Amino acid sequence: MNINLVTPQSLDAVGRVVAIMRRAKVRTKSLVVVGEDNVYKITAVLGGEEDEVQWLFNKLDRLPEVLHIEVIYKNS
Amino acid sequence: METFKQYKIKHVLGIPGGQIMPLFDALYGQEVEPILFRHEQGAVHAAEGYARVAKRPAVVAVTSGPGATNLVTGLTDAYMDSVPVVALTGQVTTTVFGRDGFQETDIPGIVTPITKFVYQVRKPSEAAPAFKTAYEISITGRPGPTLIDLPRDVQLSEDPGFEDRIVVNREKYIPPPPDEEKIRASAKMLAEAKRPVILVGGGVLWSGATPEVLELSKTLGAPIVSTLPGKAAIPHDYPLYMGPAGMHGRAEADAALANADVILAVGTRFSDRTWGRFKELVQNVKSGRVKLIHIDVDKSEIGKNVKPTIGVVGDAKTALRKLIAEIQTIGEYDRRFLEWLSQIRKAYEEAMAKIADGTPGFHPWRALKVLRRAAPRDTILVTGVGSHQMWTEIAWDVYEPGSYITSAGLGTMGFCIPASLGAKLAAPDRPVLCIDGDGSFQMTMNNLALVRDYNLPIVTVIFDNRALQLVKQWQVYIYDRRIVATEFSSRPDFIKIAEAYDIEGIRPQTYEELESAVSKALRGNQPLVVDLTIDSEIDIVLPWVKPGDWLTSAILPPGMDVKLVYEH
Repeated sequence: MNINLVTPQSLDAVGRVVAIMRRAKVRTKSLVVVGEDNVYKITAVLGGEEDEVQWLFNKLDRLPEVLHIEVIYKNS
Repeated sequence: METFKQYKIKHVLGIPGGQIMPLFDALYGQEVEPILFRHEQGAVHAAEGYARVAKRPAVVAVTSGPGATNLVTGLTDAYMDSVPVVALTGQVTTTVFGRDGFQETDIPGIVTPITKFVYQVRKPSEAAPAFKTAYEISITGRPGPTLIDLPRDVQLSEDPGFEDRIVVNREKYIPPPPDEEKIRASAKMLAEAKRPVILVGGGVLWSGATPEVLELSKTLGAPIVSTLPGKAAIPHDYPLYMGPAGMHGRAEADAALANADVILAVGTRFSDRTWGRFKELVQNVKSGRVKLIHIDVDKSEIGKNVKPTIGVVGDAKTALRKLIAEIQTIGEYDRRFLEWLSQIRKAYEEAMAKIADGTPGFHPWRALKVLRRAAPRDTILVTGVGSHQMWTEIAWDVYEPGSYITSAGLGTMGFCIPASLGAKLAAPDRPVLCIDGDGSFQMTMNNLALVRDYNLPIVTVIFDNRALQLVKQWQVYIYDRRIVATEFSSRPDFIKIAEAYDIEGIRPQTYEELESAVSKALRGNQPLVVDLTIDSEIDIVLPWVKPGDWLTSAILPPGMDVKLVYEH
């Protein structure tokens, strides 16, 4: 399962994203941050239960710095 | 200053220091009044009290380093209870960032998990838009605290004459219209319910949805139960209000929630403090024995702890208005259920009256009844954290929405005095009563200085059992009476503390004396500190749902012989 999101190009924003990911009951298999134009594109590959990934998605979506977010489930 | 004026900021609460001095200097001779606290934690709790009364954020300003870190508890408190606060912290100049300069602290990093928004301004053109963004985010949708970190050189810069854009997505906080199909399905479910119960959280208060909750309750014949923050949303003289449920909630409220067949939960985050544990509710909802409808403005709360039968994202007032419009004909609800709940209420009141009658000296339950009589209906009641707070949860009657202010989610001792000052600042003409504990009072009593400094005449009643009583109660019941580090000495003398701050202090001996003194002070808008001696041995707060227990296993007071399981 992946969560893909876009933030302004600020490490403060990335820090806020990571602060929430730390509290999720999922395993972060990889976390890739790529700077592009004026934004960071963040891709998190996650392991764990779908409900917990959904929890993480919902919490991340509350951040004003998260300009765009999507979750991709393995079987979808 | 122009931005402050634009947002009608009247006060800046805080303490100046090196790195925030330019901002305080700009207040010189201006209409915006600085309010000088004795500790930064006091300033931020006061901002919480202010916001809950004024329904808009107050601004807190403090210096870098310890000034900023002293905000952490208050910001966390505001975050847990969804209270709008805008904090401004001074910071070392941008040229020395990361060089461990004097009083340099990474405050944006520290408050990252406890703020709705945080931003470190790096150039002058960001300062005004950052403040505007922080202010608007704090109050849009589900409220919460925000923080702007202002380096000293930025504060000293000339106005650049233009504003940079702070890139955020704030539109996401605008509540979506409630899903029509889910509203229709919810209406049908509620109309067919035999034992519907409405669970009210703090979100109802922020949304202004009290009239809708009451209308729905009357239509459905549904008892209303609240969370601790939701207690402030419902007038307690409404006969179908059962009170708050949970750890130290009312027995009839626990019984209502545990025996409902349809629960409409509005503006609540399903705290373990309200439910004890979730196992029974989860199983009942999963099996269909209980239908759970959850309305919340924050979609991350839907299904976080309990997956509802129907989850509706939206503003509480809007969603309830639509729900009321959809409910046409009501089925036959169980009137005996309501009678049963009323009997539980009566049994509790009778048991407590008997206990209070047999108690030499003051009993907290009766003291609150007396204080309620002494206080005008529109009195704003603020509490500290501890056993006194739990007694107010059970025994204080709220008449006007928003007039009960407490630290619910974080349970911050020391909340009462500063939050009361903030409430008084927001509503100088209303009486403000602070019910505190001796432990809680001692954590922020230094802020009593503001009572005379700024003419904020609050009345403080200290439930003085010389103990960290709620912790001691756990030691008695859960730790086999091993009393460790919960009993205080007789120091300090609270009357002398009051006198030191030029406030009258009394130690009443009778309920009559208590009622008369508090009534006179509240009605005369005079400050007062009351040291109410309470025997720690009798101060056991019941009902009590022990941590991790289900609602029906609440320990009830002696003499209250009822079961909380409904036989239908």
